[in-house]
Amino acid sequence: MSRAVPRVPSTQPTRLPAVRPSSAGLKAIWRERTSYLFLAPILALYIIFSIYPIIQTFRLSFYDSKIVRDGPFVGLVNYESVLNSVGFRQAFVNTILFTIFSIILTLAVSIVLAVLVNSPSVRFKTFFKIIFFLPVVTSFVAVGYVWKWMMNPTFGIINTFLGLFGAAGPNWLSNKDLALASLIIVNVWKWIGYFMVILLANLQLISSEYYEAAAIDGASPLQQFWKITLPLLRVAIGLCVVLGIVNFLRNFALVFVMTQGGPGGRTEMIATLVYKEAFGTGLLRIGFSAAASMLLFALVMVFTIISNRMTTKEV
Amino acid sequence: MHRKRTAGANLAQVGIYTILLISALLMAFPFYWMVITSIRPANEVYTTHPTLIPSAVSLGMYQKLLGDPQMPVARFFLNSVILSLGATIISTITAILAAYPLARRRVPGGKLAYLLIISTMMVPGEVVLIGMFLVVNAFKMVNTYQGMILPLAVNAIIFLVIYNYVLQLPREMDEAALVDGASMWQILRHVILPLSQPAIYSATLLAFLGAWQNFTIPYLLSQTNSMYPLSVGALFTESTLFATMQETLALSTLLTIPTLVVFVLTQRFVFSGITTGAVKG
Repeated sequence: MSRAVPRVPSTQPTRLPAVRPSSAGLKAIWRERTSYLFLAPILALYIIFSIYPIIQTFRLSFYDSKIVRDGPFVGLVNYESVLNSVGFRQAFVNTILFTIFSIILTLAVSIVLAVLVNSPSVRFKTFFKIIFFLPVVTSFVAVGYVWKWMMNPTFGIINTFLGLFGAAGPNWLSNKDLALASLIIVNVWKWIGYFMVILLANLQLISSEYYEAAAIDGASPLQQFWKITLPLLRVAIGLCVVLGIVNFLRNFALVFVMTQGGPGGRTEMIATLVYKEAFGTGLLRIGFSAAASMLLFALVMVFTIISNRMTTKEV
Repeated sequence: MHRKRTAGANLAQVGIYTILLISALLMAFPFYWMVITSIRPANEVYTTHPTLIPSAVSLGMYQKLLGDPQMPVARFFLNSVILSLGATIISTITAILAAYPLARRRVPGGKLAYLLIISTMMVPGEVVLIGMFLVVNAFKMVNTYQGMILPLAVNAIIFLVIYNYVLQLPREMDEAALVDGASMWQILRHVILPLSQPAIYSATLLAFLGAWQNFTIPYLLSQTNSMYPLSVGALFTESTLFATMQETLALSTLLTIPTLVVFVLTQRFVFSGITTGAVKG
């Protein structure tokens, strides 16, 4: 096992008192002038390259603008045309489906694997952790290409393998009803290790006394899993869900590498649609794309808040 | 924990290992397939009955790629290194500088600064493509290293890894140093930096792994193949130059090896970084 002690996710209280606008407050500000100097680089960087871009995107969503010059103010027209656009609706549904199914499947698999790796009789725990984590540190571009190749209907190893059992493998990425599911499979494969490492760190903090007591009371391993393990993992699972929301809703590279949004828009995501509308088609529909971006941002916020509510609520 | 070995327990253990080994195989196989496809003879690539083990191994594909003027692969690789090292250095240094006062001192407005840093996790590059392009364009930095490095350096997880670590360090040493009249710079250099080394290793590694893998920012902000990192270069050669799958997978292998090697050599720090920093969503 690694010697580094994993810590439980905890809400860190910031140790800062309320500032009163008094001479004492001003003195404190003067006293901390070096602190502000230390804070300046990160704040400048994050404001310029993260906060300001979202404000710009928000502003542009109300204008009919081209990339260089601002167009006229058009109010909510961009939002109206986004919501009425068939392409956006399809991308919206795809993004939600991709996110929800990715989260459920990644969680299910990683919980099982974490529990198995954590079982006292299993050795080589670090080996399994490393293997399961390899996809996490691999670029989505490489991941996308190798899976695209393995899913190739003619030369792909997956369909060759299925052929051994006499099954005719499907056309994973060009079948309209299957393409999104194929992307979800690849995404799940990529993220299992990340969730597993977080869950495992939390599992290792559960005292074995719980299980010993439950075993004495005659609880089966499955009952122990439902009654002890799952409830004690609630916070960690909530964390994985939030990570999944933030990372899966913005899915971008996988689509560009594997399907370009096809077949027939079945794997188009909001982020890829935004890119295409703004930069891809030469139409430079900046206002439209900005409005679609803001809806994606709203989606990230709403999903995160809902999942935070659900997982922090006491049961 | 000692358990009586019974037939049932043994069976359960066989079952557990079987599931784990099959899962490990499924996780590792695509890597094997990527490398093998890139180094086997071409006639064994485009076949309906691919063999698991190639009849011969050749690095010809890599030689061909490195000599192709249309795909400056060595340049792609160099660009990836420059972008990820640049972003790693900037994000780690800015994070250390900010973590110290925020975790250790009563800074008026510090809570606001903390929230501002953390809130950027909700606005990844994919959500602000347009605003990001406009900002970088306004600085005349599109298709430059700095124009990609600075956005890539925005990574609040790096800050959190160091901040959470500094927060739980014992306070006696820097308080004593403060009483002795040491300046913040001195405390940072002689107390905080040495004590937070494990967190700084973790943060540096996570920053590197994240920047190397990032696709969206260089895809949005690089425009000529002399500026593409490997990830964008691979997409460019596949979609624009119609590279064969074997060439594409050779590029993918080059894209994969650096992060994989770094991770395997430093996994202890990567895992502790994930469980300390990434945990706060």
